[in-house]
Amino acid sequence: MTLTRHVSGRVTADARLVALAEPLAPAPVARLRLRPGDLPLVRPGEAVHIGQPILVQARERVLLEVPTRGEFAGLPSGAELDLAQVAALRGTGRGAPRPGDRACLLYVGTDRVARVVLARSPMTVLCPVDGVVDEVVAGHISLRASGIGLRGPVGWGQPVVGRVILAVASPDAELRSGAVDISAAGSILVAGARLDIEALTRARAIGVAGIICGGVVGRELQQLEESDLRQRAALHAITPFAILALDGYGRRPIPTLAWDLLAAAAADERNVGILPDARLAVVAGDPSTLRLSSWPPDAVRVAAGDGAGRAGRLVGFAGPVRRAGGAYQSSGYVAFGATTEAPAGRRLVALADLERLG
Amino acid sequence: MSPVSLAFFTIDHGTASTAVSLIAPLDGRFRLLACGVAPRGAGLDALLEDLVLRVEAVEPGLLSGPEGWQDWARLESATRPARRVLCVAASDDAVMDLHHAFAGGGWDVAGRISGERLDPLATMDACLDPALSTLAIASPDSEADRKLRPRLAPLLAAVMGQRPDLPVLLCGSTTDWTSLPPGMLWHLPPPDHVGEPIDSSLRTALGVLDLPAADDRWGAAVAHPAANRDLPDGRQTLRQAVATLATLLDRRIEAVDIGHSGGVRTLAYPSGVVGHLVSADAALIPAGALDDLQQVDDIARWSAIRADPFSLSDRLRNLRLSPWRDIAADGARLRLAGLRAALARLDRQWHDPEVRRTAPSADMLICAGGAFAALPPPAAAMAVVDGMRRPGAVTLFHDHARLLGPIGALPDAGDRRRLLVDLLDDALLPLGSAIVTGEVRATSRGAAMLRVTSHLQQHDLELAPNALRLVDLPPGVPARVEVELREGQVLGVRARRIGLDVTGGLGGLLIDTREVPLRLPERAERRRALLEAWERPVWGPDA
Repeated sequence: MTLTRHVSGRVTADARLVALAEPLAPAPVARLRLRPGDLPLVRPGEAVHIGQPILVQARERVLLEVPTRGEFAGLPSGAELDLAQVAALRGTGRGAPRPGDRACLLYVGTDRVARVVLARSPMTVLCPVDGVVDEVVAGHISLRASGIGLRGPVGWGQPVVGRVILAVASPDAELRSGAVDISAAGSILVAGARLDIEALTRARAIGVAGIICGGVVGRELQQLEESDLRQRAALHAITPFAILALDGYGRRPIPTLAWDLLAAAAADERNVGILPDARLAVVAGDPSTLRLSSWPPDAVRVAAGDGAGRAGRLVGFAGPVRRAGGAYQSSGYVAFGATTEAPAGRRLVALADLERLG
Repeated sequence: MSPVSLAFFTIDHGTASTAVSLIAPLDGRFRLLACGVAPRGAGLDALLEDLVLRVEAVEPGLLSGPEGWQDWARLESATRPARRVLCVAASDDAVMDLHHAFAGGGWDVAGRISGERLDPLATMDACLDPALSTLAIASPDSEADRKLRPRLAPLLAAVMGQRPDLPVLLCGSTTDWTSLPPGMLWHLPPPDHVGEPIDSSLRTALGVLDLPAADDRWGAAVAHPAANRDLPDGRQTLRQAVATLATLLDRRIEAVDIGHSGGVRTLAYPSGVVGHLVSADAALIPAGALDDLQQVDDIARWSAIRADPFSLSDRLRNLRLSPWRDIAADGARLRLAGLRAALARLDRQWHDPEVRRTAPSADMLICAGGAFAALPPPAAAMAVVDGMRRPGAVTLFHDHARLLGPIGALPDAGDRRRLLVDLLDDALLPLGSAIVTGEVRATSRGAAMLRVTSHLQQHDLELAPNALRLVDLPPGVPARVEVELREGQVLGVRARRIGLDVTGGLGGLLIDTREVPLRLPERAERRRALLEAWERPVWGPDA
C-alpha cells in the first residue's frame, strides 16, 4: 500500500472503506434444534441426503413424575424409557402415557421420583441438505452441508427443501398472490423485496415448501405464527413451511450476491434447503458449476435509503455530508448503469448505506 | 525525537462499527489530527490509511514519514457481544443476587431458574438451548438456600451430563453440589446482595474470567473476528479512563455509553469509581427485541415518527440488524427513540429499587458509543435528559472520536493522565448544559423566572410547566443561571433565588421543566404530539 492516491488533495475512492456484503458461505454448517423428547435418526460421520428422515420431533411435550424404586438408576439423562414400564410405575389417570408416546428420562430426583418427558404427536423432519453429520448432541444436530450457503437475519418455520424458482423478475420486485400458481407446489420461491400476506397464505395453501425474500413484514410473520400456533394446538398435521428473509424486516431488496446465486441456481434447476432456526439457505450441488457474476473491487450496492438495491461503482469520496436532522456522514459518489427504470448517472450516497460486492 | 515516531492510532472495535483516530505530537503536545468511523466489515487498514491521507491532504509535511504508517503504534480496545447466561439457584433471593451480578456485568441473562418454583421440563429445555453459552449457579452460605439444593442438584447434574460443552460457573460454596462433575465447574465467589452498579467480588472475578469463545453460529447476525478476542475490553477501559479523568480534573464525572451490543454507565469521583454498570439490556436495540414485540413497543413509545406500529417495529428491528444504515430522512429520529429508551433502561438498572435514596450524581456527563454519533448535539442532549431524569444541572460532553476506551487501555495511570491532559479539548466535544428543574407549577403569585447571563447576551424566561426550551449558548461560553421563585421548589430545593454556573456547547442550554420521572400519555396520538412538541427545538429546520 502506498500513499500515492491523491487527486488534487482528495483521496481517490477506496471501496475498502465500505463494509463488505454478507458473503456466500461455501460448505456451511447447518444445525437443527433438538428439544427434550426429540429423536435424532442419524449419527456423527454419517452421510445424509436431501429428503432423508433425520429426526423425529415431538409437537407436544408433557412432563411426567414417576415414583421409582431404582428402576432407572444408572440411565443417563435423555435415555429412552420403556413406555409400558413408565405406565406401570405411573399408573392410569390424568397425564398417563398413551400409545404412540415416547418417554425420555430427564433425571431422577433425590426424592426418587423420575422426571420423564412424554413426547407426543411425532413429526418426521426430512433432511434439507446433502452433507455429513458433524455432531449429534443434546440440543442440536450439526451438519456440514455440501453446497453453498446464504445467511439471513430472519428465519421462520421448519426445515424444508425444494427446487428453487424465481417468482419475481428482479431482487426489488414484490411477490403478489396472483403470481403464485400451483406449479410452484413443493418448491422454494424467491419472492423479491417482500411478499404480502395474501401471497404468503396462497403459497402455503398450494404447498410451496418455502420462501426466500429480502424482507418480511413483522405483522405478516406474527399472523403466520398465530395461525401456526392454532394449528399446533389443534394437533392438525402441519405441512412444513419456511421463510428466510435475507436483509431484515419490511421491504428490503434481496442482496445482490444472494440474488446472483439464487438466479444461477434457478437456471440450473437446483434444490435449495432452508433451515430457519439457523437462518440459513443452502443451494445444493457443486458450487463451482454455477455461473456466478464476478464483481470488480469498486462494485458496491446501495443497501438502504433511496435507490436501495441498485448496484454501481464507487467513483469518489465526498467527505462528511450533512443529513436531515443534522448528523454528518462520510459519503461517496456512486456511478450507476442505465436500467429500465432509471437512466445512468451518479449519486451521492452515505458510505454506511453501501455494501461492497467485490 | 521526530514527531512521526510518536504518531499513533487509536482503534475502538465496536460490535457494529469501528472508530479510528490519528494522534501525533504537535507544538509540544499530543493532538487529535483525524478521526473516522465505519461499519464493521470495512477494511481496518484502509481506514487507518485514510486518516493519514486526509492529514497529508490538508497539511502536507505535518507527518514526516507518513509512508511508514503501518508501523505506527495502535492503542486498541474492543467490545464484544454479551455472553448468554442462565442464572440458577436453589432460592429466589440467591437467584436475584446472581441475576444482578451478571446483568450488571454485561451478560445477557437468558433466564432465572429458582429451586423454589422449578419446572424441570422448561429448565432442561432452556439449558439445552444451543444459544446458551454459560450456566451460573449461586451457592451462598445460607441455610434457606442449602435446604433447597437437593431439588436442583440432580437436574443440574443431568444437564451437565448432556452438555459437556457448557461452562458451568459455581458461584459460592461447593457444599451440596458433590453430584456435579467437578472437572466441569469454574469456581467463583458467591453473589453479594448489592445493586447492579456496585462492584462485588463475583463481578471482579467475572471481569477476568477467560471462558472459551462462545459459539455464535446461532447468535448475532453481525460477525465478530476472533482476532479481537485478545484486545482489552472496551467497557472496562472506559471505566479506567473515566476514573483517570475524575482524578485529573478533580471533579465527579459520569459516562454513559450506548452501543449496539450493550450500554455502560460509570460514575467516578476523584477518589475512585463509585459505580460501574455494563448492561446488555441497555443496547440501542437489545437482541431480545428481535423476538419480543413488547420490547419493541416499549422503544416505539419514545418515537414521534408518524407511522403504523408494525412499520415502526420493523424499522426498529432493522436498526438492531444494521445499526449504521438509513440515517437520512427520519433515521435520526428513530435513533433518538432507541437512545431514549436505552438510557431509560440503563437508568432503571442503575437505581437500586431497594435503596430509597438519591443516587450520587456528577458535575459533568460524557456521552459515548455509536448511538450518540448519529444524532445532532441538541438531540443527544435531549436523549440524556429524557432517559436519565434527575433534577439538577449537568454539563454534557461527547467522546465523538471514541478515544476514551482505547486511552483507558493504557495500563499505567500516569500515561493515561498525560495523554488525557493533552487530548482533553480534542476528545471531548461540548454538547452543552442541561437544567432539569423538576415539575414547576404556575401559581396565583406568578410563574418562576429564569435568567441566563453570559458575556454575549442575557435571556429572561418564564418557567412554564412541562416544557423543554433550548437557549443558544455557544461552545465554551460560561453563563450564570438564576432562578427566581415565588413559591414551591425547583431543582429539588425550596428557595427564593437559586444561582448556578453552566457552560455552553454545540447543543446550547436545555431548560427542562417537565416532571421527574417523565410520564408519557398512553394514547398513541397524544403521546406523539407531545414528543413532537418537545423535540421541535432540537431538530434543525430541515428535519
